[in-house]
Amino acid sequence: MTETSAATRLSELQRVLEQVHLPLTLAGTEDARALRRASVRQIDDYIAPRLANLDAPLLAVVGGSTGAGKSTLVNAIVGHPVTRTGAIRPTTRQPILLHAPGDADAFAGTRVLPGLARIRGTRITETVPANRAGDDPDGALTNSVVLVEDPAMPSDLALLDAPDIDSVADENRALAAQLLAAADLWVFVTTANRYADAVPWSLLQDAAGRDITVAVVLDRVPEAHASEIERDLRDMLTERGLHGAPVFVVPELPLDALGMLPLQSVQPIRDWLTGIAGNVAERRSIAGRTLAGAIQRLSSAAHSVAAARQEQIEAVDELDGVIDDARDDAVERVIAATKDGTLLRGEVLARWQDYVGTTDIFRTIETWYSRVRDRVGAWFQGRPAPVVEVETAIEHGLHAVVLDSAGRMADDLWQRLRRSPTGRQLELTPALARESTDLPDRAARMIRDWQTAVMQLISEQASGKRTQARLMSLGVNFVTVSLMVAVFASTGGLTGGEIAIAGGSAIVSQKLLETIFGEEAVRRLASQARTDLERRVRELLTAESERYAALVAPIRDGATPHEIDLAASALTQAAEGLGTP
Amino acid sequence: MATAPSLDARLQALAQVAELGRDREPDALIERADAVIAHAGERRALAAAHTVVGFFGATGSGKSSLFNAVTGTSLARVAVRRPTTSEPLAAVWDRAGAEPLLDWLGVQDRHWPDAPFGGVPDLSLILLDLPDFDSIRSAHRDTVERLAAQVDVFIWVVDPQKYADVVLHRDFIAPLAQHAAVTAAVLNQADRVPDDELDGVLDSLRGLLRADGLTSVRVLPASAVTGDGVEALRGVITTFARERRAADARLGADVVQIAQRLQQGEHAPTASIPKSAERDLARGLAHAAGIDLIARAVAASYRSRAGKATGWPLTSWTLGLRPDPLRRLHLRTDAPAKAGRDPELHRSSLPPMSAAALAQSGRAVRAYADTASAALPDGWRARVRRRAAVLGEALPDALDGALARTDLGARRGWWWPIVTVVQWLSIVLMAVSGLWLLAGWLLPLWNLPAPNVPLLKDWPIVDGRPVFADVGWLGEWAAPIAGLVAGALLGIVVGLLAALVSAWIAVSIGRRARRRLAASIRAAAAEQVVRPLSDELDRYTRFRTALTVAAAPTR
Repeated sequence: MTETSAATRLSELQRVLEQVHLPLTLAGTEDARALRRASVRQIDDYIAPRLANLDAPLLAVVGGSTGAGKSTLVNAIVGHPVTRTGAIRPTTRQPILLHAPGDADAFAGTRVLPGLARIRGTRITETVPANRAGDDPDGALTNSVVLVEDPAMPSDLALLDAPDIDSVADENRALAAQLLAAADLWVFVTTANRYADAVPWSLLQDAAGRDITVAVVLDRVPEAHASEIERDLRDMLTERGLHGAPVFVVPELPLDALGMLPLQSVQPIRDWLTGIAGNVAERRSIAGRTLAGAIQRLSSAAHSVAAARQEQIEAVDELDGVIDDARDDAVERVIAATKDGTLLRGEVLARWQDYVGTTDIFRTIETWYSRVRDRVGAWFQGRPAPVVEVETAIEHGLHAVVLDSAGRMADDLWQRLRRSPTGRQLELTPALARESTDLPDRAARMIRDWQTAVMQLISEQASGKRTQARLMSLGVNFVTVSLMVAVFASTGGLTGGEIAIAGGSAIVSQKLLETIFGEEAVRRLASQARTDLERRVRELLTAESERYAALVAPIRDGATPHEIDLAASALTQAAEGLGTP
Repeated sequence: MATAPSLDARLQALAQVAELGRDREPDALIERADAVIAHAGERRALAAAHTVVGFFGATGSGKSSLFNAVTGTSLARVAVRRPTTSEPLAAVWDRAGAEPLLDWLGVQDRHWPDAPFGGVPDLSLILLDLPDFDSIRSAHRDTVERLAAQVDVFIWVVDPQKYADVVLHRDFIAPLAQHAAVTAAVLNQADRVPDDELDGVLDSLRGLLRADGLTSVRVLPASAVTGDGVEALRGVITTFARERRAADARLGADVVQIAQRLQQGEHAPTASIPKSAERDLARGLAHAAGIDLIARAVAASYRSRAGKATGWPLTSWTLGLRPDPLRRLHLRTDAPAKAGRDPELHRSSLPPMSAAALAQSGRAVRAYADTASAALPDGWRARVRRRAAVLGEALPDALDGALARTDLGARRGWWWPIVTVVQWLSIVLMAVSGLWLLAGWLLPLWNLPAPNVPLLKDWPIVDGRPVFADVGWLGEWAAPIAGLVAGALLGIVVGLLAALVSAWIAVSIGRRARRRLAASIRAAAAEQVVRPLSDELDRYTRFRTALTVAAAPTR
């Protein structure tokens, strides 16, 4: 009952872990990725099959450093050369799995280590020296395991000769870690030269943490110093919580003609292994303890992965914040430029001045006169009528302001993202340092749309006959431009003599509008037109900032930290009491 | 092939690289370059002629045994418990200057053997036996990492069990791949390898070293137990010490190492910024500064003032009701120099740039920076862009100044007074004629003698002959009426002619003003944007040049 529900929980956690996405490289992400990969693999390789059958034959993995003599030891245990030994490192590339003839079914299929291909090895006749035993090392075959049936093996226990844990060849190290994670018990081989190395000790420490059964073989010990070194090693084991681990000392002895150690030197190890194999209760207890430890470790690994995932999400939030801030700044810049009347300086002002502004006394004559003159001039010089010119000037001004703001946003975002350690990992092409190429067109369309909307607003407002008549007499265009001028000069902000002119023009516009619509309506119209403009600008710049957000968004895909934590906790709960029969 | 640069040249180049690349290249790399320079300075300031040779190796590889065998002493403690050596130990030959060097190395355990090293007298040598770097004692590794940065010659001591360990290759040998010239590898405990396999093991070790990047490093088999190969190793050390080049070679390798890391991923910049970019910038800024508007105003102002001066006075006064287009832009109609103010000190009285103009100038500068920096690596590119942003801030004032300094050539025409005189003459003619006519009509009403109002064909008479005797039907007009009409016609025709002429002149004055304004803007753009940014590009070129020297291959 517990096993089934634990198995469900386990496959659930595996599914969630497979969906975890850690694309950003933050501090510790590399570890979390490796942990996730290893966890997913360990579930297939070991935890799931062991959970399904606690009584299946045990897998003892012989692991250790390069040159520690693992292969020599394995050959000695079975009594004849099966795996290649040699002085050239790293010697063992393809792992060899030795099992009793009756256990073939337990290892030949994909029950355990499904990711590794099986190669059926033949038993070596005793005449082959150990340095030529086994297959030639083949780098392409590191994803496979060689199965060798050997009558010398006790049943219900298989021995796996793993590659080096600290070799310079990366694939060797990776495979060794994978095999050690799939082991029910470890036969850990070290030497008199190596027993203080940091790399194996970190693995042993890990083994102590997950409660796996470990036997330590101290190999290649000069006989004269055996007891001194053994004592030192035992002290170190005790210090690191492995006091229960049996230590087997194998003295450095001359090898025989076949490159074999004398049998009696490994007899205690053989006895220990055979003893475990022959005792069902002992086997169950070892398997159960290792399984419980593995599940506990898996669940804590999942929590670590969840934490790493959480960090990714936080990093993404931060990036999104940067992008949103830049977008808001850009919108704010456009609003500021259109609000304080500065847009009306220079060209727009000059145009509008040409059109409506003049000294008070002669306004009527002058307006009439200059309109006629302007029309005639326009006809002769091919220049558009002034009202169109003012409209164009406003359009151009607004267009320039929007493009500049978008350009500054792009520049700013490119630099800020590039400076941030996480942002740098996004694919920031040089094009992202500029506004997008079709922005001028889109901005122009946005402004035209706004003008149309303003015109419509005015037409809707002019419901009464009188109002309509006044509107018609002045021209909708003229009134629209007046409203735009009123919108852009609504808060003043002009300096010096300009107030007299622009302020004056704005007041003229405002007065003119008020005579048509009334004071209240003008204020409402202006504020509606402004709100509409701000909304359109925000929309446009948001579309622009989407270019960056789109780089960030995919990072959010995949399992959430909460899902991982939940699945891990559920597994821990379901597996409670598993290791204590 | 050109000779490799000297260490001095390399260090100098690296110092330049660090200075030029600061804030542009990754901080970690610049810091490393600084550290290499500082370290080289310290090492070279030490007067000692010693060559510092370090024995590096994993725990249990037999560094100490080999050290004892090579020195012919039993200074180093040899034991079976691992790790054995925890403090570096120095054997020193030649006392002169050795103490400060050892202080710098931080080695306390010093020994001064009497016997000359390898039987060679007068050798200046410090031989270091170092702790391991792969044991559970991490403090040992720290010591080794520190001394690995300081020694002149590396002797990597490996043994048949451990020669392929990942820690040795990944963490120590590969990062020092540049230092092949001051490196030797010793396969200790060679006696433990069966004779027929020794060559294979040595080949395997050489292959691993090649994979680390050390292509031509000497690999010696040795055994501290049997004494095989010890003499050869002693020979290698003696050669290093006698040549006295190792210290410089090591420092040079440090320089090359960091310089090559800085070279990674760099791309060469284009020789210069395309001319079209500068043209676009000037055009954009000119547009932003509104020079077309000003040029139009200059022309309009000329026309308007000419109209006031040369138009028919009876109508031209209305022109005065409209403000002068130039004054409306707050520009002066006279030359800046004549105004008695120094444009260098005063801004123009132009109103501040509109938001649209600011936006246009900002865009123009950004586009220029974008083109100018396109070929640069990211850090430099970012720098150019940041600089451009700062320059863009100050640009409106600079453009304003440029406009203020420009002589718009909007002065009054020399011919205006002449036309003015003619116009007033026409008015005088009309006035006199009018008064005459008026007198001829009004005076009789008050019973005063009326002046004679002759017909044109009779008056005026010059040399006894009427001037307008043969003017046909016009001769039947009264002379004052003819004068009135003639005055009006004169004024209007002259006014129209003057308007045509001034319109024609105004066009060319407007064009000239535009040209001058464009030139001023171009100059301002060159001064304010182009020059500062091309300084940054030059800086990059100098950086690359210095980097090439610093990273030149040692052989």
